[in-house]
Amino acid sequence: MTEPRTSGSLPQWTVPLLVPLFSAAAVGLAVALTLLLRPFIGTTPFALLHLAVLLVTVRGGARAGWWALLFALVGADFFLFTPTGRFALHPGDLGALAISGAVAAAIVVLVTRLRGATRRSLARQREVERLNRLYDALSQVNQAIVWSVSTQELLPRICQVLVERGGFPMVWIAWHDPASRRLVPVASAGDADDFLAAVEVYADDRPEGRGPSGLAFRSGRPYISNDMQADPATLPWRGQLAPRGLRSAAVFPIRARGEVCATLSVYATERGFFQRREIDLLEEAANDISYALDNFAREEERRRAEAVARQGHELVDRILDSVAGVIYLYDESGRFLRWNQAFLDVTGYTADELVTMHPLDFFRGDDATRVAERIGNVFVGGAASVEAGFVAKDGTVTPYFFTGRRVELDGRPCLVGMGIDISERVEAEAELRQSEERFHTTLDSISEGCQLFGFDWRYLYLNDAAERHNRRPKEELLGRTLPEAWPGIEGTAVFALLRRGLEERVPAHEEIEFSFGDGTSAWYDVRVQPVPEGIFVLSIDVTDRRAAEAAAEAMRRRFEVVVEHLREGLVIASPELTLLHWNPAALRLLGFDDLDEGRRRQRDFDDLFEIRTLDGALVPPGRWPLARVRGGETIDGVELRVRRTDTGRERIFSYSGTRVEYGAGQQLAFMTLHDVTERHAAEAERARLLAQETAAREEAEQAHRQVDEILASVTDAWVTLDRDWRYVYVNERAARIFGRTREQLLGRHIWTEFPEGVGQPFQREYERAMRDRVEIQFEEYYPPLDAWFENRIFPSAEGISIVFQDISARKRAELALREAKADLERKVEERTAELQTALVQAEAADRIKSAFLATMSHELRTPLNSIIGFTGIVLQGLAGPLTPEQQKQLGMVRGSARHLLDLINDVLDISKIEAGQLEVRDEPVDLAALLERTVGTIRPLAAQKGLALETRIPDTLPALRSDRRRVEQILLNLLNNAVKFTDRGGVTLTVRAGPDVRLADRRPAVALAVADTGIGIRPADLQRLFQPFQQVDSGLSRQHEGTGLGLAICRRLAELLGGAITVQSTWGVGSTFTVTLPLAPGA
Amino acid sequence: MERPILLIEDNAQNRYLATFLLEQHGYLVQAAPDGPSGISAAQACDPVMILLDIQLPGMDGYAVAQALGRIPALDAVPIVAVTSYAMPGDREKALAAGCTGYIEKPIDPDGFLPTLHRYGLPPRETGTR
Repeated sequence: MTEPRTSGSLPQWTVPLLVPLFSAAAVGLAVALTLLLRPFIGTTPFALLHLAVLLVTVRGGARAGWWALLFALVGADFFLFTPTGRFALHPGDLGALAISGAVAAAIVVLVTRLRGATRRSLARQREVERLNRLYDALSQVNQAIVWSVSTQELLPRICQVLVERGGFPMVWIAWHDPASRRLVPVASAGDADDFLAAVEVYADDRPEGRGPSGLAFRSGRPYISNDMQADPATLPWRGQLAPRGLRSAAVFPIRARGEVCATLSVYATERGFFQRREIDLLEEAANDISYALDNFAREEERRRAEAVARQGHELVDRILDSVAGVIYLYDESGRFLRWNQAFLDVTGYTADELVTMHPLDFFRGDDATRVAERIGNVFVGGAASVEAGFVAKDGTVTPYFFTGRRVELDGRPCLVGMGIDISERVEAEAELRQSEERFHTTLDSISEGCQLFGFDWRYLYLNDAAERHNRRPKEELLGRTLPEAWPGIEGTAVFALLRRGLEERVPAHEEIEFSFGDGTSAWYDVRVQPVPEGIFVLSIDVTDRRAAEAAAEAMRRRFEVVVEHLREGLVIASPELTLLHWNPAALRLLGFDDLDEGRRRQRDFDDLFEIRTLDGALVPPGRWPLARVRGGETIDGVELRVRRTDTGRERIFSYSGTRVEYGAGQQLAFMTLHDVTERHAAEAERARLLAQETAAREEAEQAHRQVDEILASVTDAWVTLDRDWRYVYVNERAARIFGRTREQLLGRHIWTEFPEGVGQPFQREYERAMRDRVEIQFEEYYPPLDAWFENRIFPSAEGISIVFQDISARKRAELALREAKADLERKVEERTAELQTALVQAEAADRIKSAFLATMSHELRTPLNSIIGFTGIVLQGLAGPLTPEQQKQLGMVRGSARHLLDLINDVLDISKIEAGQLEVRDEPVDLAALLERTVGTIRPLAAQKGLALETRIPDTLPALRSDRRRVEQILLNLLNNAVKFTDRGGVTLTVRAGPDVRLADRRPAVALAVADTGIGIRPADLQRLFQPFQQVDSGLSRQHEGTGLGLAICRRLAELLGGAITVQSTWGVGSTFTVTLPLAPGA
Repeated sequence: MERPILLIEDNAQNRYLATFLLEQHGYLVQAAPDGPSGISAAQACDPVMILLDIQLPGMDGYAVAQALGRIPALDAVPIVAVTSYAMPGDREKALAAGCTGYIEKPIDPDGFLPTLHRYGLPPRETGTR
């Protein structure tokens, strides 16, 4: 079919005539020369001339040579013929003839060869040009491959390059559509008048598939048609190709994944254009395109794999993002690998910025150093935590608590950490510090000295009062030890007292004198309390009080002198009767002539005397006048009849008395008695005695007032209660706290005044202190005043003294702190527990699922082994011949058993699907056969239940590429379900295909619909219908056996096959399940 | 003396099934109901192939396969696991324990013999069927 190409202006048909013509002319010339030039034969000059003319004609080029020679011949005829005009053969002519013939022959050969050489050289030159264009085009094709990112971009470029650079009139690429088997033009160039729009080319063996493209596609080899008008393969298109000047064509298969998927068609305007080298080069281009397609496919696959991985990541990300704290993961070099949204929100950085950052970029100064150290701990020790200021992009610093744990990721150690905002706690701590400062300020404002010593005797704290008590500035004492500050103190009683507290860890209380080493000293009421830090020392300067007491003592001694000589009966007693003094007059009144006897027996008066009212009513000893006065009552002129039981002597006495207070809580009861039996006789005497009594009382009152002043100077609130719970002392501060005046309270019963305290800790503790005579300290909230009090109760002579202060501010700060801490801990615990629970549940569920699958698979296989095994043996005839009926029935048993086995495998499948491990095939599916097989399997079941099983299947079914086994599985399942859940009526299988049957994304599809007239599904149940292990009505599960997996598998399989499954149902009327599958998986 | 196929299987039905099937195809079958008796039978009867169930009482099939592998006289005798353990990884476990083949239960009489031939059971032209 190959022909030499022609060129030049002569018509092609002249070529075969040229050589004989020329040869004839040359012979003619030789004859003419021989005849006409006979006279000159042998002359050299003429021969030379002859040769010269020939040479000139030849060198002038073939075409010019012809004309020059003709010219020379005509010229020779002209000059040499005319003179004689005769013709005769001469013996010498033979020589001339021979020479001329040889010369002419030489000329013919020479000219012919030169002519051929020139033509070949020109053809080669054009060939080289063409190949150069092809090489250029090929290099551009490779450029296009390099720069294109998709098939859609690449193919048009290649067509364009081949036309523009390769000089081809038209190039197009056809893509194989497996559904229609058509080779669809997807890219072209040079197709000026839309030739390709109308062209129908197929890949299969129909007439339109037997053209160059179809042949190349099926054979997988290039197809070359160097003369399309003569090639039978191009017959259907010839009429369209010829007018466009397309004479020859070459088609090359393009492969993806080793399978031919497209063709590259290249046209030329000349016949025979495609020779070995053109073909090789274009084939190379086609191979390069195949290589590029493989790359695109691999790239696409990689993108899909990444998308799947991304979905997994997204779930984790959503979980991470739902956590309130910041979560992050970085490797040993500090490169961030993962983080949650909160991390970005808190820091204000973008993810792009974060990947370039180092974990320590989020901390400053000391924090950065500490965090770096803890990060090191994590990588070495496995876990660590740290509190540090977390620096955001805008510079704000938030206190955070971070915990880190080392994990292995792809074999590399990484740190996974979590941070929690602890601003609230830090603020609460700051508040506590402030509160402590306020507390110190309060301590400084009170008059009691407070000091704190460490176990090494070092001064740790002094309040202002303690500074005054020490008579030295705090700075001199703080940080020094007691012996350093006070050389020689070790030998003193003060040191011994403190040592009891510090070393024996017992509270101590003593009134003690402290010598300042400069000759001066002072008295202090010192209480030592062991505390965790060492000892707390509370000191009250009692120098003044002691002076007052000393004065009172002196006074009492003076009293005694007076009292002893009083004619009036006078009794002085302390409330506890530690002091009891009856003066001689009193004893005498009682009938004791022997005063010593009276003094001896004065403590037995309860037994010795009997006291009655003037009315004769017996008075119990607890209500005797002295007892009443000791208890704080004041009596005035109480007249009672007193009888001595041993002598029977009876007198009437008038008693008056009161209790006075002096010193710190010291009290004395004074009571006078006189015999009114002889009142009148003693009138004058009584007046005198009364005057003296008044004087004494005033003196006592004076002492009382002094003590009172001292007590009032104590800044803490202070009250004293007697044993009858009456206020006998209230200082100003206490009165202010109570919101009453001292006068309103003194002498009043505490629980009458403050009934709210009854039954409260206040009452309990007061009573305990009163009863057990112990010191008690406690803190308690007092609702009526909405305040917290710190209370110290000391037993005192009269009853108890209570020193208290309002500590509400400190208490509230403490409570706030405790709550904040508890809240924070609770939150952290809750979140940890939630995460833990979720993790445990997920793991447990997974374990249960795996165990269930393994057990089910194993347990069902054991009985199936016998069923399938023995039916197989019997069917093989190994156990004896079978009747055809037995053969058929046993075949059904085996079919069912195998189906059950399939089901087991399907359960395993669903676990594979869920784990993303199931692969579906892409193979041609004979839909008609599939439908027949499936319906045939179900028909006996339907017949058994008396149900009609109808099919509506179109005569022609589309070509389907899918996974046969899976499609069958889905359909079998749907039909099985329909029969299972239908008791009356029937089941209809409808198959639809055609242009209007498409998936949601417009892909052509086939729809298989299974409709039943069964129980239907409630709308509420439609939601979970496709969930695994769900049979809609649990009440039905006994009635309808099944794993509950069927629909879940169907949906997943349909999705895996690229399709979808839908359901329409009316409760009580019936359901229709429709599975829609694409005609080709990837199309 | 004809060499038997040794069948180590505890389930009587399965034992009967496999024995019947093999005998119908002209093979001599010796059966053992557990691992230890199977191991001693393997040393005594010079089997041409050993079919080994994995779920056996006491000593399981993996242990039996390992024990058989330590007997030099049985080096050339193929051991085929016939088991209802069909989860992913079970096949690999059986092969790792020293089995040369693996057949999932339920066995299919149609494909059983060809599979055994593939695992090295010499065919018998003269069946007694």
